[in-house]
Amino acid sequence: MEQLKASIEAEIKTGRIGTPVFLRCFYQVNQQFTDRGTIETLINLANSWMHSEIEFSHFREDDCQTTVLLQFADGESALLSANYLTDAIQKPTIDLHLIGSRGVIYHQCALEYEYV
Amino acid sequence: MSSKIYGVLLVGGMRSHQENYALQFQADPRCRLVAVADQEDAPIDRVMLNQALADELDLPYQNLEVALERTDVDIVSLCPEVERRAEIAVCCAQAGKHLYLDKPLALNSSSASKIVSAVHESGVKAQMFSNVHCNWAKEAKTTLEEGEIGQLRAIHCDITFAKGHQGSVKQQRRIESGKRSRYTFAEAKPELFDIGVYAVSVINWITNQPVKSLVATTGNYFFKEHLAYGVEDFGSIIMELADGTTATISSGRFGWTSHPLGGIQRIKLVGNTGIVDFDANQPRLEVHAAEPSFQPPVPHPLDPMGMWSSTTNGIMQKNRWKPISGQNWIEEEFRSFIDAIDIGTPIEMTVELAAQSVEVITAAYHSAASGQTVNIT
Repeated sequence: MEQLKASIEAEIKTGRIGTPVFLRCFYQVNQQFTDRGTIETLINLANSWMHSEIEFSHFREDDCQTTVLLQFADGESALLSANYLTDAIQKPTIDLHLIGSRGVIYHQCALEYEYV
Repeated sequence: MSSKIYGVLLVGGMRSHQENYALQFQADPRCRLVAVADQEDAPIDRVMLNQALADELDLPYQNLEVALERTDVDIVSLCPEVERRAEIAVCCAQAGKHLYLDKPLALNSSSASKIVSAVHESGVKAQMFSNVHCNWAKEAKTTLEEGEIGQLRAIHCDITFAKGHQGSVKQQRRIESGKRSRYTFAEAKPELFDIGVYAVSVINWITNQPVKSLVATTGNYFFKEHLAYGVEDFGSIIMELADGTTATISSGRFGWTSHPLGGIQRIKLVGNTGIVDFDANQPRLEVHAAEPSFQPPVPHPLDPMGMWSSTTNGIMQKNRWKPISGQNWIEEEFRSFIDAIDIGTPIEMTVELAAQSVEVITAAYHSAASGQTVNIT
């Protein structure tokens, strides 16, 4: 996760996508990670990539998922979801797109294990 | 199938979706285009655009009242400005004509309700343009109905259009008014409404659940044209459906070079026994070749956002991603409407569902303005 975070930070710094304005991220993890730790991991990612502070958050959660809508002080936003796998066949994955004012970073990856 | 040929009246001309819809009706052997028509007091620039479509299709251009008296008109394909949509749709339904309706259904819930009432009272068939005949949407609905993921806990839908020349605004917080008294501008549309209607209506259709409450945001992230007219280019909504399911959408227009093809179109279903994704761009071929990369078109002065076929003719096509489904969903969309009239098959995107989308999106604007949860039902 630190590698992913650093890679995206480096890409943001090149200026290719302009200013980050919206993050959509789905993080699919095993059921043992149903506490707020998983969604906090995603919130920390969003917080590190957006240029202003979180102004409000709205959570929806149940036994299978937690989803949050974030609004940042300068108008950026994020929709983040932690989904908890109940099926042993399904693997942990992360799937995100970070939209900037001039372009987008897409990333989809199956993971060997969760980074929570 | 009956042998009847259905006469189709077109309301809405060039620089409206009628450019596309007319050709779909024309391609169906059960239909015959009859005329282009509009209200006597239609805006003069709209009259000129109506006349231009009539000329292109070699059809007469008539006063709407006169055209609705014609016995050879069975269907009206309706693409007037959103602001005039309810008044015209009600007249057409009261005249006993079946309605094919451009999206969104209307500017607000009150106008949408008038269309729903007129359709009920007249007994005509009515369908709004939507994505429900796309394979990715149909497969999501089937998966849910067949219990493959158990009980639905969350549904997420992203629909964005890779059109327009992004990067022309500096970052600033959008001051959301919470109302859309005007929808139609030559250079812009409110994009949470314009594109978000696809995502909201697909969720309504798949879940068959009304929205109980929501929280939303809107943004001016990409285009100076949207900022100039006070409309958003992007928005997000998080919803609680009536049965407690979580639903989210993100929708908007984000620029020609923001996606390898036309934009993001996908749904994720999260159930208590499984999680599954449906993506319009999966499965696909990805082709890289010794050829020039995509170049956005020079902005058309009357259509900088790339909304209409007639103003985007000849632009360079993106060809690196080739979805392999081979589905012509737009043909299916129109065929299903004619089938509903011809052989009585059910309409999927009914005016009731279409009105529900208007209610959700207008509530989303109120939430984005206040920063508060808005309760709907």
